[in-house]
Amino acid sequence: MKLAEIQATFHQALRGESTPEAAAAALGADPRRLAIYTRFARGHVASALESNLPVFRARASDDWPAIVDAYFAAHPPRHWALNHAAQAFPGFVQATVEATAGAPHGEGPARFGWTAFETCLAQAEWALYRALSDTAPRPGPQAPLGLNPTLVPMQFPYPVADVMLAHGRGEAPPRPAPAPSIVFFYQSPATGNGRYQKARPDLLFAVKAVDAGLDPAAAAAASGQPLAAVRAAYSAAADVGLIVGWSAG
Amino acid sequence: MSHGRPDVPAPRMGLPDLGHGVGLRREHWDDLFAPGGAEGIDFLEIVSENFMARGGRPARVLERARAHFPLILHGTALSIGTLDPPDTGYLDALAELCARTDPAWVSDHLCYSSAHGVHYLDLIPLPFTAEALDHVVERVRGVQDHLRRPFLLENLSYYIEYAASEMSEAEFLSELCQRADCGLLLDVNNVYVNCRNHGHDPRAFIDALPAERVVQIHLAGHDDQGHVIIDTHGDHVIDAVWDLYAYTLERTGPVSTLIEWDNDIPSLAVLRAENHRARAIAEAVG
Ligand SMILES: [Fe+2]
Repeated sequence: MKLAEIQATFHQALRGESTPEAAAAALGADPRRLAIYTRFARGHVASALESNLPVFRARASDDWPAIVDAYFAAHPPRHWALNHAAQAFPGFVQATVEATAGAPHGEGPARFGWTAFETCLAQAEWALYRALSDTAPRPGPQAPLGLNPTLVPMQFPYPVADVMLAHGRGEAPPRPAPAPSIVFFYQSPATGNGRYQKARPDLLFAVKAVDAGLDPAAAAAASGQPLAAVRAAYSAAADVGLIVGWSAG
Repeated sequence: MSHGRPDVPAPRMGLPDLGHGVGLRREHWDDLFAPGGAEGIDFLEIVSENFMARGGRPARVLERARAHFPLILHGTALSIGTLDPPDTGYLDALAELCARTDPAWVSDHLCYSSAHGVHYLDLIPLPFTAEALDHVVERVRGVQDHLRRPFLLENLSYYIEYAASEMSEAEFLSELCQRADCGLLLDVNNVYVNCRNHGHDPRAFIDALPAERVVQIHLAGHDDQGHVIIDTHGDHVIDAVWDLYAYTLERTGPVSTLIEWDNDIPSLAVLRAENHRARAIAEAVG
């Protein structure tokens, strides 16, 4: 048997396009042993999803194996990095939501019962992965006042950060009502770890002012806010790592 | 590479014996650089794919590791045996990582992990055929040309054997190392696992390898499920593998040895103890 035929036969089994029994018979191998590989191939995609979308996975509860199966079949990994195997998941959720809108609940992917909230959650969790893997150079200690170079603000029609924070506290809140929100995703300048931060008015103000190149005096003049309030907002934004090169002293 | 006399091949292909190392794992990023954390750890093996991105905490840890230890690179995604075209993006990222880490050598596995444009994220065995050998020899040469670093391939742990195979694994590896002029990363646990899973003799396997091509050794634990052993890298090295390690060193002489522990990762102290045991065996062999 030629190498091309062996790889094609194995490929079909690994992708679930044929059974381990059929592939093993063609390759002259033990089907139970070949099934170890088919389990691993699916398992790696499952673990990429579980490590990058932990909140989504927890909320899916018993539907999770079926979700992994549907995703695995629809989105073969196209990149060598394990985490990239989860990259297509937000798009997969969005496409599923669109395809199942109005479909009878309980059949096919419609039984997941997803709405636009689930799309937001998948997008937010993947945005956190993108932030932590951002390759922007680390701002040095002498960096001038500016935005964290890894900062990505995202707008959502749901308060998605609240659900992620609740998950972090061990809670599982019901799907929230729609309410627009802005979330910042970025790397902590101190540790390099990925972070997200719900935008509050003071943080949003500081990010916009720093992005416009305004020092506190200029921001106070432009906004009509007291200088002390502007400085407090800059300090709050620097404390959580949204801006760099700011020292309250 | 000569060793005084031109007809005697140099051990380890003339590459250094780095001593006894461990893998750089996220779980130990803090402990490794704490006082006493690095005791008994002579070098670190980096999983290449985990550090190819240049940003974030991994890049900072890598810089620190580079300052404190000799590093070697060990990949899992090269897919040397695939019939798909070589992934130049991957090779460029690996070359860039080499420039950042200056490894004594770079290794990956004798397998393929992608085909038909899909990455399986797992190591799939190749058949031991003349056709596969020709193909891998050519691919190894391509990698060596791209990286310009010493390159090793590791003997894989595999759960199936192909009816198509025309030679033994040891014959395949020997021919491959010779023709491609690459080194062997000999995973002694994989030898044990394969021999148990397929009914071969581990010492005969070691005897059939070109000892002077063994540049590095891996030791690891596995999960013996009775009907099959799964190579989990999630437990202590078992006594039979320690014995096989000693048997190997008697043939190769001193070789850089690494404890692999990738699942249920224990404290660094446990890894240091495994390393200590490996060192004691190596010193006893002399
Ligand atoms: Fe290994």
